[in-house]
Amino acid sequence: MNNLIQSEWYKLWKDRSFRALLWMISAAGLFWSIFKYIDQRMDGESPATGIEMWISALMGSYIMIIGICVLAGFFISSEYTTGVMKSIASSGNSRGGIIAAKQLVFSIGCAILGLLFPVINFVVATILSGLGELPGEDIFPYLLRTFGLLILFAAAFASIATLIATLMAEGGKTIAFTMVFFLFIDIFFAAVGKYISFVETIYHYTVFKLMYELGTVAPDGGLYLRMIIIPLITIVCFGMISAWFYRRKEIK
Amino acid sequence: MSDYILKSNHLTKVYKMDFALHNVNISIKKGAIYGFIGQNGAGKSTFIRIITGLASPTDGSIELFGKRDEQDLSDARKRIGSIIESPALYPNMTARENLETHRLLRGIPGQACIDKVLTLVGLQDTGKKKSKNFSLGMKQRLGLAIALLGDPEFLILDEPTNGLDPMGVIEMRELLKKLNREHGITILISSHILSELHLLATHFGIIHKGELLEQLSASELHEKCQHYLHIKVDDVGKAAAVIEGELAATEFEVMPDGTIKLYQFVDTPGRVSVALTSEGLVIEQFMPMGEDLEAYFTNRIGGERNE
Repeated sequence: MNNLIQSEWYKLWKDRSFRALLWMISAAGLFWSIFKYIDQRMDGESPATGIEMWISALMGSYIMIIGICVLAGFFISSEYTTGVMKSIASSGNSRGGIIAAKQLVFSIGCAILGLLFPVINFVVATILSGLGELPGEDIFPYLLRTFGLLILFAAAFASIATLIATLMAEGGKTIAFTMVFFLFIDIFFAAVGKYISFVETIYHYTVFKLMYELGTVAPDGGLYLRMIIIPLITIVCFGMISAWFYRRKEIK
Repeated sequence: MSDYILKSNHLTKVYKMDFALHNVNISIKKGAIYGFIGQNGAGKSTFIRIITGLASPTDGSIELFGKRDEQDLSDARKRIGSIIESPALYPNMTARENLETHRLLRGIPGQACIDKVLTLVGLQDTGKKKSKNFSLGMKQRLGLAIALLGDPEFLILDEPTNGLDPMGVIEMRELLKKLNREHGITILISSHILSELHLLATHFGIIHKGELLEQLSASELHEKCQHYLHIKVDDVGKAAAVIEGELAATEFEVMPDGTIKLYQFVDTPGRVSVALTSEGLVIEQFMPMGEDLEAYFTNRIGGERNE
């Protein structure tokens, strides 16, 4: 298993799309926080502090979602298109081990992409305007918790994207399908939930809904527990389904 | 310890009611270069994909290095190197980076093996050139280098000479012969270039419409590729009478184009020419001929050709 993780890790850092995403998200984080600072100063408002920028970055994690979609296409599905998956699957390693290593490293990549924007926002805003204050909770425990939860949610979304990428087995299709899926899943649940209350209840217990609660200050015990357990269940369930499909998949 | 690297027992694969493979029993001896011959869609790639674990059989089983159950087969595949259909490369990586990925994947310690295989296939000087910028021949050689990582005991090569220029084909043939001779690597090779296989393989398997028609060694093939004397004279009727009467030959054919195929006296053609000329016949053409692998294969599958 260790050799598989090492190989995936090597490929992740050699992956041009991953490197490009790192640069683009870093640049976006840097420019966004600087422009916001300048804009607020020019409007005579007090500029957002580090912790405020962190919270606002957590609330809109679409950058992470887009990063996951692009990476799923290039890092996972493209291996089917180039035929490399044939070499991997015929290497004598177990299929379960192969997909587990891939999902693990992909999740780490997604977590890095997901953390990059909020972290840069936080660091730049803290340098420019100070750390700020958080009513109702100490800043450092809050930062630590949300940092961990963001990694957990990135891994949960990555597990869903891994399944789609395994099924699609083609980079372009994977990117398109995952983007449509992740960006419209909320609309789907909202629309169907209007008529079927059960669906709305389910939505409240999904990572898609809980994602918007990531930045909640001093969450109650129930919400906190859900924000830990539901991503974990998502990772395990989608991981198992991906492994099940991959074990039975005829690799062409 | 079994003498066979690979055995398939009644291997069958069905895709949507069609047999891609039907009761295929193939045995490949240790040290052999097994030429796998068949038209497009005959089932060669399906067979190779099952051996390498990319597809599972509908029925039947395989035995690799004497191992049969799934876990053992998976371990046995670590002793195989393969190129399946086309060399599988990361286009944005250099040759060395591609090899490093596969080295890590296979858990091979140290990077010395990378230099070794790069030198072996002649790609040691490609530097920072990405594999997407390689010629088809270079890609094939890099694919072979990947397959050779970790010193496999069994090489499975599906059309390894695709895209190679004539010199590349010769180099590939010599390299494979060297690997077989000096490193004792058993090779299963499928190729459309039958003349090339003829020069390389020690054993042949002919597959057609999912069924294995025949397995034979190179010497058996040589015997089966009937040799004959091709004769053209000014009077074919008189020549036939001389061959039948004076030479007492029974195995000959008069062809519609007026030539004669004489399957006897191949080793003593002088006797035939003397007999014909002494009867006043003028010999226009006289040469020993025989079927090559291509003709044998075409005859074996009933003369069908790809559309």
